[in-house]
Amino acid sequence: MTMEFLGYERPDGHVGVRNHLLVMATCDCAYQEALKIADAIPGTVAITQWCGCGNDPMVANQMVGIANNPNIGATLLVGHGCETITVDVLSRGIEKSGKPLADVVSQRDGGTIKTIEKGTRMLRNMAVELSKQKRKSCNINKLIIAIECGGSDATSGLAANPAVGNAVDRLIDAGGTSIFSEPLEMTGTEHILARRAVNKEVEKKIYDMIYDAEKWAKASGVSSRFMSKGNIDGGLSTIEEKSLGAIFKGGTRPIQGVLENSRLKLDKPTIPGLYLQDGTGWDVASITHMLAVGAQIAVFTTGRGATTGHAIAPVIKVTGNPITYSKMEDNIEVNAGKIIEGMAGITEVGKEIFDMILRVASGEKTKTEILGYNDFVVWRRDRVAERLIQICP
Amino acid sequence: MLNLLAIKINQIDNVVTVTNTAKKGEVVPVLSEEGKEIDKIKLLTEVPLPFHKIALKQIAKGEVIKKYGEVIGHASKSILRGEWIHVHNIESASLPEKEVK
Repeated sequence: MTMEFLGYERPDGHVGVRNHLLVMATCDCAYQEALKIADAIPGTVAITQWCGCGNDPMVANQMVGIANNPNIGATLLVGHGCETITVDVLSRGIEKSGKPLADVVSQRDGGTIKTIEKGTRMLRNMAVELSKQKRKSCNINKLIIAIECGGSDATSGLAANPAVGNAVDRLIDAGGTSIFSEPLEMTGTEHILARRAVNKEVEKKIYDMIYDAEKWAKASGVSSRFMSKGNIDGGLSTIEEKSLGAIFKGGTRPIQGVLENSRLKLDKPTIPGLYLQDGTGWDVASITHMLAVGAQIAVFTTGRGATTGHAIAPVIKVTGNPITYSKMEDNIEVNAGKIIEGMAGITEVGKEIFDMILRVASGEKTKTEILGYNDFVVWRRDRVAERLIQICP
Repeated sequence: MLNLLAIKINQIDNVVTVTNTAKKGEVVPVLSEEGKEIDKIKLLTEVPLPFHKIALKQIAKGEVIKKYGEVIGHASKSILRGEWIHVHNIESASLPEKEVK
């Protein structure tokens, strides 16, 4: 039986689970105009990249990827004028998606007030167009789920991550796609992940990604195979046990590919299945990074109780700690703590998470969305360090 | 306070994770991935902290220790069913840290 959800079909064939109207400032110098324009039209999202006005293709690629994310119905670019990643640079990447796109630039259009006036009118017209779009029944093979963890504790590896992994297995078996990242937390399990690679090329990329992450850690003076007293008191005996607890949130299915992000390219999933992303362990940036390659929903496991949301996507929270759930029910959707209380099995909670993913894909709002969370950070690598430790592509 | 239970994450595992501290001699019910009680283990040692592991079966010195259906290390000494498993009787099987060239 084909599983379906109700989504917004885009001209490029991708499907959104939300229909956001995006106001994207090219750099922080254009952010005030972007905020004021977005304030005038309720329900719009304003973001910028906070990495200055220089030319970092990794940043530009992610900004283009975010505007091309199917959760975005239309984009208004707000430029400053003298930045390197201009509205024209971004437009060239975004216009291929075929979605409504317009721009204003304060140095070109006559300063803040005229830019706001012009931009507000453009955004108003886009809002009218978006309001006419309707959700339609779409195949689950259009769904890409990002998996993230943060604020972990001893229950994460025992309950929340195995339950999410079970939900990911269900999604992959139904024909969907999932991505997880945080390569430094895969240390010690590279041989386990590599064994799941669909071919030799992917196998090599898995080893390269994890060893490169270790070089980063080592260059900053820490060993990624180090077990802290907290880890050991929490019951983790070896590095592979620690990392297995983290990678288990990605389930057990074959790994289709390693999605790379460098100055040269930003890889996207090509066929349905499970992917690893060469990214960061910094939660919000990691979610942005996975959304920039097309994920529409993030599932976030936490032990201590993370509150993180995202500006352009629903984030479903899962905790394995029943005490955290009872304290933070206002922030967390799924109580996988039932597993360690003996009230439910891993497979049952996995089914609960999978069902929730389909409901959220069809429009059910998550707690971060209801609370209005608009977290957004773009991840960039330190190019100087990248050259020094010789992992520069 | 959590009930005293042990969770077996994968059916081929030879260790289980105990959800609380426990005294020597206590009997711990073991739950499967499906949440069904599949065993009861009498503890041969104390479990000093929550979320630590115990052996589900006898494990000879050098034999692999499995959790998540994967190898998490080797037994550095022989371990009996019901015995606490941690850094004192397990060693990592992971590859050594790769040197930066």
